[in-house]
Amino acid sequence: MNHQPFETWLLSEESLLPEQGRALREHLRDCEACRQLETSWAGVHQFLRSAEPATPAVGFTLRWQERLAEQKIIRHKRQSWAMLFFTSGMAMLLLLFLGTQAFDLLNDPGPLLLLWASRLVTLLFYADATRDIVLTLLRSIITVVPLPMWVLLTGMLSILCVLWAVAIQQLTSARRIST
Amino acid sequence: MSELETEWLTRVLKGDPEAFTQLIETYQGPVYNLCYRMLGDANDAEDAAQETFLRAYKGIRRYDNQRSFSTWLLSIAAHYCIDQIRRRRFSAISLEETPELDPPDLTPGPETALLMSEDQKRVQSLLAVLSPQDRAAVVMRYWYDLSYEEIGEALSMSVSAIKSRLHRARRELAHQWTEQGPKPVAVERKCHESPAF
Repeated sequence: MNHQPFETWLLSEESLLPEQGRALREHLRDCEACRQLETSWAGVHQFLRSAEPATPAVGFTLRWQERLAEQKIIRHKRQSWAMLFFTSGMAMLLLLFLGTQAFDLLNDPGPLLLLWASRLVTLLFYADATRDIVLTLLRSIITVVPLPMWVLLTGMLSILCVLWAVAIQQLTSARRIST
Repeated sequence: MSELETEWLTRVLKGDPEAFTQLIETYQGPVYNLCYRMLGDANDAEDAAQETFLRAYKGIRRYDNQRSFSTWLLSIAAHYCIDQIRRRRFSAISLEETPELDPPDLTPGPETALLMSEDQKRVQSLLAVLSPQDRAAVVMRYWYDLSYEEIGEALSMSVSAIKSRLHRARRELAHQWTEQGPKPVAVERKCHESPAF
């Protein structure tokens, strides 16, 4: 026997049209399987509706707070280990580089010392040239920019500094759950 | 959602973690019940409910306040439980494939069996025949009276998919009920009178 659409109607939560209801009742008179389905679903429905919800053991929130604290500790440990590995790796690389340099220096120190000395002299020359440029620029700016403009610029810079300090303070404030 | 809960949420979003503990106090029951019905074990349910609140706390900034907070929480719980069931099945299959190892004993211990009332056992045995997604849909529908739209939103499915899943679940539950035999039941809750909330 074809049980469609009666099975769908029996399990539907939407209300049926009058003619659908009549057809379903007529079908149920003759169909044992659909009568069984109707009885079973009614039983299940009533049983599910009357089933009490399961509740957690007392102290759920406290346990959650402890778990959160544990997770934070684990996360901090992981970050510390990651940082340790990174710094160790960098230190190893640096040592390797210095080791090769020291090896070269011990084998033939003359050319390397000369190279370093020439680099130092070049660096000092560049530093002197930069100082001259900056001093010249400053002298020309001081004569060009009027005094009120200087006051305004200093004020704006101060405000920016205060904003920066407040933002850093807001971003680094600790988020903590007290138990 | 009540005004008080809205205020708690606002406080949580502003960085007040104490307010979140108020939300846990309010929603621990529904979340735990869903996890228990999904996983069928008190310890697993506790673990899943705890994890749900941790995930919610970490992802609170992703919560859209136009949605229901309880539906959002139940969605996190349902997805977590579905993942747990899949992992459990996967690990069970892996164990079966290893001939040297004994298969896991899935029968409850004597203490658990005593603690579990007959009704609770029957509910679990009924729900056990359903797939994880169907089980989640049934719990949301018959314990929390969620609409098809809300269930679809929580389980990331369309309304028609939810209707189809619930229809299939009802048929499977009815067949399971027939196999188990009828049982006198307590007074039915009124519609929209979910005991969980």
